[in-house]
Amino acid sequence: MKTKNGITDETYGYGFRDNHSPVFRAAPGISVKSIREISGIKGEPEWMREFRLRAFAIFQKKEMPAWGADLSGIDFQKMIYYVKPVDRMARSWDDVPEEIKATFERIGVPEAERKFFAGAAAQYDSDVIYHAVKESFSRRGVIFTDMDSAVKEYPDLVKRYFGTVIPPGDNKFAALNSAVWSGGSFIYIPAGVKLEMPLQAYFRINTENFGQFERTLIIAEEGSEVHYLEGCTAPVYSTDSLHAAVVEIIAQPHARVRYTTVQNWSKNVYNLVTKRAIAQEGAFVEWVDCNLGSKVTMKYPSVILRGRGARADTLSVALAGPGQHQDAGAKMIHTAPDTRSNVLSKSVSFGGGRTSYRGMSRVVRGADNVQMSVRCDAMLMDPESRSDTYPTLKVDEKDTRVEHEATVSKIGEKELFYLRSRGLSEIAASSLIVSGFFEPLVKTLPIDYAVEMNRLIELQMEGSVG
Amino acid sequence: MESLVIENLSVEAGGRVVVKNVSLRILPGEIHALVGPNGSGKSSLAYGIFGHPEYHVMHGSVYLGAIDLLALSPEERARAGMFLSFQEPPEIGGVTLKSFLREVKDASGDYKTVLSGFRIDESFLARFLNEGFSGGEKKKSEILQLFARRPKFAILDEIDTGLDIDSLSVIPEILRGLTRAGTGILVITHSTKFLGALSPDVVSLFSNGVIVETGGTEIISRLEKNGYEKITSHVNAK
Amino acid sequence: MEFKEKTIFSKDLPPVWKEDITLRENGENIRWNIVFVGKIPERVDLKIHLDAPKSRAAVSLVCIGRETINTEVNIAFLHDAPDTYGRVIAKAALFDESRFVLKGMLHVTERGVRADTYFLGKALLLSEAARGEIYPYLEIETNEVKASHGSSVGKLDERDMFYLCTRGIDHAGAQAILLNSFFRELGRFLPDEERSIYFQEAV
Repeated sequence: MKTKNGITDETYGYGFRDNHSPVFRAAPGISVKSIREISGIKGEPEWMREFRLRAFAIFQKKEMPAWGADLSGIDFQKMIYYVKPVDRMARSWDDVPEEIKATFERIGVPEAERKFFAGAAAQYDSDVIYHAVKESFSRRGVIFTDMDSAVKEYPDLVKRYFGTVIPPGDNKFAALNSAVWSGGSFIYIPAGVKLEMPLQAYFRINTENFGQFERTLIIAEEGSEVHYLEGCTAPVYSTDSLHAAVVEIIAQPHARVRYTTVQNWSKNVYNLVTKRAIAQEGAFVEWVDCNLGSKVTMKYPSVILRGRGARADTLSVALAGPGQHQDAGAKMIHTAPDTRSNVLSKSVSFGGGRTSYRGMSRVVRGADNVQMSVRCDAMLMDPESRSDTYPTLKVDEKDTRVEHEATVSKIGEKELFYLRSRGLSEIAASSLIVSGFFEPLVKTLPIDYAVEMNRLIELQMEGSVG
Repeated sequence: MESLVIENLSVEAGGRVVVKNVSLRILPGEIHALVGPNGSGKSSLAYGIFGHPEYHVMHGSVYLGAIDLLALSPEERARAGMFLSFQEPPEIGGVTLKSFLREVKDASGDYKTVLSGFRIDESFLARFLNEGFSGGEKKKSEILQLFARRPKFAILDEIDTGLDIDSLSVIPEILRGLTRAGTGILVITHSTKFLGALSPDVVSLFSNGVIVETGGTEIISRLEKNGYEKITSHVNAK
Repeated sequence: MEFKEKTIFSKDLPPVWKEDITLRENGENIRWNIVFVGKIPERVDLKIHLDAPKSRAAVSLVCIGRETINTEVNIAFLHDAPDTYGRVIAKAALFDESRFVLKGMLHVTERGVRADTYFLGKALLLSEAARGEIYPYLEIETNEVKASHGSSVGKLDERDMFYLCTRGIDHAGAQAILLNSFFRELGRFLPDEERSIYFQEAV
């Protein structure tokens, strides 16, 4: 019996229709035993299991960060670290919070997609989309698959690069991810291949999407070009309260990689992400980072400009509403000469929300003729909200130009009045101004994302005015 | 009398060769116009001659009389008797134009004619060097400095852009005052109108980093009639 | 807008200099000009609490770093009352093997409505071994505020140097003019011995 989207009753109902079906869910808490179990279920090679165990040892020893957002709400032993893919999707639509359902309605997300984003659908038409592009990819030698499969199908490639940009010892959450990671994307672009269309996590959607501990690795060989897009503007409902993802990017000489993330986790989630790229000679890396959801986000995309003439840009936008703390920023570390980087960060706080910008601009001795600029602008919509800026400029090389500018202001009264005099309501005017404020980022998104984004901002603003 | 002789000069910048085997000669008291479309490399030639940090001479020579300019630092070239007027002069706050002119002035330097020619007020001289200056004001600042230094040879890069009509009309006269005293000037521009008013002694047509043709004012009339494309492509096709 | 002005010279300061000041009276204001030349403290902790409405604080710091001086300067302003004003302008020219660390904090609490506060920190590296670190922090807890900061670390602009050279000015002279431009009005606090390093506006 098929439903109108081609999804059969059985798949739809798996896990919540049929109570007798086996459902694998690891016991709460994390231990050497549970890690071995997870690795076993995945059927991983020995070397990956060892990697996980070494990382776990580091996780246990490492301290929680002494700075940043308040993470006291995380209880590592209460969480469940692994749910078999199909099972996690088996959630009842009835369990999804009203506000999420309402948002989908407002943004205009189609019925079946809603169930997917709410975690209640198994495979949503993704196979169809993916198979179409899969053909053209394999012809050009492009690999785009999930990380679990990559470990088994491309062991040499994975072994060579996995954990080289972000070693487990980097920070406590990178260690955690290294121990219990599951899902995420593996992308390999051969030399000289330039992909015209952005790769979206959506294409290879399987139930591992929106996992807790995604691990993504992108390898762009010499002269290649790729744009990867993950996340969505629709709020993603997750019962898991801790998400600790790791993204590693290797941009070989003259490669160009843009990584766009639009994050809108539900308001119970702690979203702690470590993202870093290495840019070799003449390479160009762009991080486009949009933080709309979660209870707490700590995310500082970084680039190590290791090759002469490398360039990096980071564009970061954060929206923090009631009860939210977006602690985001950018790190640019220049270890090679003739390199350039730019950071543009824009944040808006309303209803008591808090945004913090944390950045590092670093030039190492010997990296001469470096130019870096950082600009962070924050808008506070009301007296209850808060904004912080914590940039660091560390320069050990004389032949450098590093500049940083930041402003904090409230929404422009004059602009608001102007728009209202043309008939816009206060909400519509505020959201238009905020959209305009975020424009440098929104304009890099594919068209349908951009439309959703603006509607989402308007929705959020409704909560703030009046 | 010393001439400025540029021979077979090639200049590279940002990985590209922007000036290719250019040869030029400027005699004392002469106005030599270098005319060409935007992006043809005219400024690059000027920067290459003066030793701008981002422009590198690949081969060739530049001699002021018997002096090998390329062997000197930029300030030594200036002291040997050269002057370069920038297309986009940088702003340097904290030092007034007046103090600066006094600092750079040559013994025989005198910019009175510029002050009266442009009808410049004392208050202009009290402003910081180029800071907050409009395009035209920056050019006036360059011309004041030109007269203060009284060089043997001056290269003026787009001296006309930004100037209002009244100031523009005064420039040819002001510059002729300088040439009568012996200064040779290389005027870089893309405006045929300005050239017409200036009435140069020699005209060199520049395109894509090379001198395509050298002649007299008839080149200007041809340009006015046909524009750049026709002339340069016609010549390139030869 | 009258400030109680004080000029403080580093040679008169101890190796660790701490000051914790609270402005308690309506409209109270202070202006300190700190001059770091020659002997310089290793560490400075300057905290100013603007606890009274309409209080104002302005701190300027001019520093010439030579030889192996190594200094960490912390300047924090806490805006905790309505209509306060804060300005921090710190500029350091670093020669030889000097090292300058500047940590600024502008904190506006919910009570600091209509605060007007600005931090500018600039370090100019004039030798191969000089080092500069700037940490300009902002913590803003109310939206009725004008708060911003700017900072830069770098060397003299080569294109500016070239421009001056084409007017016959040598390297040392060009550096002097650009240093004058860098320090601007703060230059007047530099003692005579240091004046030689930068171009003097003829009176």
